[in-house]
Amino acid sequence: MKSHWYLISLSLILGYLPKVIGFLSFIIFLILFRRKIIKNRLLLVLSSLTFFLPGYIIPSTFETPDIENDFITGWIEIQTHPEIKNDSIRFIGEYQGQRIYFYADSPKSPLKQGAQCYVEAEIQQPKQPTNPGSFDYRKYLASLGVSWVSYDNSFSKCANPSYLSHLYDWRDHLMSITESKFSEATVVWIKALIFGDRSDIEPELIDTFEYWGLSHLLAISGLHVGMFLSVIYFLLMKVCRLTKEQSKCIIIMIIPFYIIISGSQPPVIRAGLMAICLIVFSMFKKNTTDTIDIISIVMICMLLYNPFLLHQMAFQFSFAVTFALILSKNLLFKDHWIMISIKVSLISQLVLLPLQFYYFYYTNVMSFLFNLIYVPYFTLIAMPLLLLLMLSLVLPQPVRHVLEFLFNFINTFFIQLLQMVGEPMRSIWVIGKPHLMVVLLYFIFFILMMLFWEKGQLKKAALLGIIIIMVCYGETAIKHFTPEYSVTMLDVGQAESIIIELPYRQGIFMVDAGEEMNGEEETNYNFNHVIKPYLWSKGITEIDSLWISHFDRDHSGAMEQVIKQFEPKQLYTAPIERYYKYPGLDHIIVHEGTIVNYGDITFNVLSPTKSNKHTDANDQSIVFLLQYKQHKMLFTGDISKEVEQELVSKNSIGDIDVLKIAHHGSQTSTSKLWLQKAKPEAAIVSVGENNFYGHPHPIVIQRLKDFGINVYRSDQLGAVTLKYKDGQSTFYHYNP
Amino acid sequence: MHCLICFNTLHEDTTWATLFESKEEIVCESCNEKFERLDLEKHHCQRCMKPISHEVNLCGDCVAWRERMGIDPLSRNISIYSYNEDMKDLMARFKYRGDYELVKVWEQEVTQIYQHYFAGNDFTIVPIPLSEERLSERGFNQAEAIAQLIGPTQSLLIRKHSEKQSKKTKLERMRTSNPFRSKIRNAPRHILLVDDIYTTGTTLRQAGQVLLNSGAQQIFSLTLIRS
Repeated sequence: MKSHWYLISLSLILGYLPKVIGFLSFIIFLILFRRKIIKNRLLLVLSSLTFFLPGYIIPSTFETPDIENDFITGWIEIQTHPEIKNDSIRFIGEYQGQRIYFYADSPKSPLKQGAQCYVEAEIQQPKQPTNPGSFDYRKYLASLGVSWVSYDNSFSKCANPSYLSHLYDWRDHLMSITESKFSEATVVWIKALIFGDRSDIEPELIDTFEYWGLSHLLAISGLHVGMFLSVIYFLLMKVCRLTKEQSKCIIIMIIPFYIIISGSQPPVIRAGLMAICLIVFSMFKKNTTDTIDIISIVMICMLLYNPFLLHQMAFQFSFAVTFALILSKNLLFKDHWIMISIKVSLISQLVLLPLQFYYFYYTNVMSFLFNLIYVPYFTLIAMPLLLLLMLSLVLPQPVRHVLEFLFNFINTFFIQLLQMVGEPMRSIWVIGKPHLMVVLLYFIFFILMMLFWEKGQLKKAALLGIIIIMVCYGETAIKHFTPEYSVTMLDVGQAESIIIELPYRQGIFMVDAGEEMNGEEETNYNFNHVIKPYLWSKGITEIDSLWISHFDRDHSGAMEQVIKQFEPKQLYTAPIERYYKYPGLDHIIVHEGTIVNYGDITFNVLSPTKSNKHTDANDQSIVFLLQYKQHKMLFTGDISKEVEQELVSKNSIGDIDVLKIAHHGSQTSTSKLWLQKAKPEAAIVSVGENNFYGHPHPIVIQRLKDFGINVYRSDQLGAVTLKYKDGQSTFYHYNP
Repeated sequence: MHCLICFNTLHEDTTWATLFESKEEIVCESCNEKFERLDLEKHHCQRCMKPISHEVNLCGDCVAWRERMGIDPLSRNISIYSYNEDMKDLMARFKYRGDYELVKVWEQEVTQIYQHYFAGNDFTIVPIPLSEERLSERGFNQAEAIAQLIGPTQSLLIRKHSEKQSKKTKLERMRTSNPFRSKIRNAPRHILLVDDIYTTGTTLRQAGQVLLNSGAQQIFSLTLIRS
């Protein structure tokens, strides 16, 4: 079986794929590896068995339970170490075979890993995203094997914590010591890079790291583990003067503790287990083990222990990079160290590209250069310095202060450098969420490219390099192939944002980009978590024009970000006093009588008048009729009955197909007269769930019902999309 | 699998290149590194492949041969390895202790070099024979073994018994009377002589002269080692 374990681990991964794609890729797998498999019948049997294994070992928790929420009382076992974040305690508990994610207030009895607690709790299904492209909390928890969450709960009679919980207590204790001994700026990094807890790092900085493809450095990765172990090994050999064998034994014993101290994330477990295997093998046999076998066996063991790990991003990234670098062994030695670093960075980027696209919809083409600078900085400078800082806790204070000063001096330089560069838009390449087949295809070509590169057939390798980039472009091309005209009302809570897409990407228009009004606080939640992910997941990086109906925050709050990120060429607003100036943007004032044509689409503005005499901001909203071929849709902003009345009396509206209900369904709009005149077949309402204003008003909903108009509400249905093709229109909604 | 030379277990890490198909290695990495390929050196004699200084194209020996014989019977010799200490040990094992299997170690290189320099021309491959006494002593002809790596060989020569070459001085070797006889009258036009070692080139030139006399037009040689 030597040198063949990777085939077993590969077939195990293929077993996780959806049925059809899984079988197809298993057949491709058998064909590709036929020369190895034919020689070894045991291999054929084992890889077939492992291919079917995930179907059995992934428990039925994946099937969503029928009930939305429930109340439980009884004993649970605390399975993960309870983490304290923002005054709430979070952990996974098991209740009658179901894993539940608990958010708890500080309870009377201490919550410890492994303890049995009596619980009274309300549990509910994790929230599903209500917009395409948004973060899927339910799927994320499912990847942890969790199918319920509980926010409202009380615990009592906790007993029998596990031995491990003492270790976790020790970790917490160490963390509180560091918090008291070092300055805040240092503690942030110690917590992130030694304890694997990055919750103290500013979100903006995390975003910047993510933007440059460096976020792996903020978590403890295999590299860090390697660095840590080398430092310890060096100290044992040179300072404690132990023999090689003694040092190795001690290292083996240290690793499990290190895994727990550092927060036991999959990359650390992976690196720790691999280190143990390598050391053990090196002590018994000399250099006869294939490293690829070790990583494969480690992966198989981790997946058998917890089959859900494969769904975790950290697990996928860590194993993908490690596999690729181990296989590139021949490319990476006997070369100048600069060339080696460049190759390592390049290979890592390329192997992660499809995963990066799958999770983030974009990649940063400069990422590989930034990794060249920041990977060495973090592993060779920051990490050892932080380790020394931790060790200096037992040394006299002045030593500690000098070290701390040194660390902060260097670290501030590197972090500020990154912040100075900021997030220029041009260096990212957005292709959207790739199809699973595209991901598989990419990996096949990638492996072939690496194969030719290693064999020195550089022309073929270069050709395959071009092909893998073409595969990515192919994905964007497929996304352009949308034959329908569509209008999507995003679920942006108590705000509004509607996106209009012409067939084959001939035009993308946005009407309003609102943020919710949460008291005084101005968040960019909608832009960052709804609007941008929606557009990026579809591979849209530029829009043609942005219409802002009026300047209330719930309609224009994300305007600035949209302009900066998606660079519309025109901004259309009603007559207002301010003039918006951005490079490449025309601010165009529209009013009654303005007609804007763009391809097959016409924006016919009905209100306000040129003088814009209304005093109320809502009544100054742009009202326009959007016509694509035979399909007519009326956009109304937040206008009140008065404006509706005006428009009816001017006789400017007629039989339309879809009406956007004004002012989130407030009873001050959408009069009977208005509906009689407009005669829509369907109406869309953008409204937040359980909002403070009580929108939409029951009277309005009843009125629409009386007129026999189909109502699509974003609070109930999530994002609502109208698709229109060949005179046929259909509504789709994102929530089930 | 074990290394043919040092018998250590062959250890090949899986890489991209061996992902789909394992390489059939017979010699381990460390043994392989002991071989010194001659063609990797920059400059050697155009005729006999002896490494020489950059100013000249022919080595002193080859110039001497030409002066003494008028026309050098050997047009060109190609050698693959240099005769370093490891190679000496290996040749002793191969030739004198009869480890015939070792010939496989060189198979890839020999065929590769043959393809590079000689393929395409219509060469008749002729291994340098051993005398009958020597053959019965050794059990096999090392030159024949190497020649068979390339393709079918023809035995066109007969060798008289004489003292072992390696026991003679350079001058003695260059002056010995020709021990070869041709088996045929009409030798093929292009001949590729194959031997294990090129030391002074006497043997190859003597064999070449005999074949030239019986009708061959051009003599080349391929030797495993240039000492």
